[in-house]
Amino acid sequence: MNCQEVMELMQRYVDGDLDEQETSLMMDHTGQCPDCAAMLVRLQKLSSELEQLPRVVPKFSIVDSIMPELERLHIEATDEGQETSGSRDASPAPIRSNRPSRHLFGKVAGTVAAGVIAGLLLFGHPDQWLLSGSKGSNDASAPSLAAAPAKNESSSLMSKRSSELDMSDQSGGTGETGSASNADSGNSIAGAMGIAPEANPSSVERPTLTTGDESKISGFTVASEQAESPDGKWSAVAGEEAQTFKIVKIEDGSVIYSSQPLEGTIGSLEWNDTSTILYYTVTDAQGNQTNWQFDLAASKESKR
Amino acid sequence: MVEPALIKAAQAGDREALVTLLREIENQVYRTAYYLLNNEQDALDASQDALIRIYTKIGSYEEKAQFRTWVQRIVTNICIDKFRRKKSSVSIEEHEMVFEAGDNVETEVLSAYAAEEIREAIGKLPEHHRTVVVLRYLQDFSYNEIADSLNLPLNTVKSYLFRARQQLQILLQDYQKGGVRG
Repeated sequence: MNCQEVMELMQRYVDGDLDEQETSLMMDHTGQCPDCAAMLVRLQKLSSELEQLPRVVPKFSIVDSIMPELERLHIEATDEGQETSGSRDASPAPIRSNRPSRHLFGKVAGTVAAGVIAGLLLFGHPDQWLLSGSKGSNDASAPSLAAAPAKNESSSLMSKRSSELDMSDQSGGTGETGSASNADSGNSIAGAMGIAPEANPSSVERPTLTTGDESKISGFTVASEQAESPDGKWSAVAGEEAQTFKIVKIEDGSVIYSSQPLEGTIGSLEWNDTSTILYYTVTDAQGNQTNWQFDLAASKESKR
Repeated sequence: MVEPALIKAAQAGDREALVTLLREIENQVYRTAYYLLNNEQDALDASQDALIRIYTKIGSYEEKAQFRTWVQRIVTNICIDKFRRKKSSVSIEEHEMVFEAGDNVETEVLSAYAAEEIREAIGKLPEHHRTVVVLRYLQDFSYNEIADSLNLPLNTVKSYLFRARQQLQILLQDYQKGGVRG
């Protein structure tokens, strides 16, 4: 058995694909061939590192973000069914069809409403549109919102609930870099999301550029106030206006801890090597920074 | 795992079931898109497209295939399209992409995650090798499930995966030798 053949066995070995006989063949060879033995070690290490890659999760609900589009598709499909009154099971209409405006008034109203929402968000966050080069969290969700009312007739039947959901998505993506001018609408959206609405507006005036830089450093999840534990199990996420934080179990997205609102802005989220303690800083309105830590096992926040 | 009953209900026109189903799979869809496209924004866009496509095509899913391999086929196709379009529109060669990654040396140095190195190395693999690796490790797919998702012969899947691991191993060794990470 030559090294080339053993390479294939080793590859299948790391996938758990070898039977006993093949395993002992491979082991016999690696026992005598230091090169193959070293290769086997490297492959196993690589494979276990690949297995441990973080199970990244989207920073907002993607389904919520496409709800208006799904709603529109649904209505189109229903209309279609009525018009052709024969084929009930017809597959939904093509996404970008130009339908005659049978419910013109309603559609116009819907478009106007969506436009107003888009406008509020657009003008409420002028800084983000200028700083969109950083591939930060802010520009992530916004274009889809702006595009939705423009490219298609928004449905008049779009339920209030789904548009609210849509808005809270947007704030989920953009809130952390919200500007002071947006404080009011930001807070009402935060309220809708169940996050403490009594956020102190002055804390909102964090320089956007800084958070942009942070988002690059934090790596995978890009959101500026988010840190994944080294073992890939937990994600610490600073909430709306960065006055609260949550610990999310990455595996299933469940929130295992939500902090009380803190007297300042949370930043520099960082885990210890063993993923048991989260370190973070709290900066108050005067710019004084204190160091804190959160013990995962004890579920306890303390100064350090 | 998505309940067969939920899939059935969604196929029968139960819209609420269909939306519930989409919620159950959105994380797995995003995870693949994220590791294939190596960029959060692109991954969000691709995931939106994939979920909309699943919404409109749910009727065409047939039970003889596993639901999750069907879902992954949709998302990988969208990502590969996106990837090709991006590549041709900017017309950058493979070796220049390596270069581009080098521009972020500053952020790389600051990052303590070995996982980030691996993610970047995955990003340098040819698209089919990358896809196989992502399905194997981020979706925990077997050789057969990967073959079903990508519509490839089993042997091709294996040879892609084996070559991908060899390449990754070399790329990651280079990193360590380069000492960029200190």
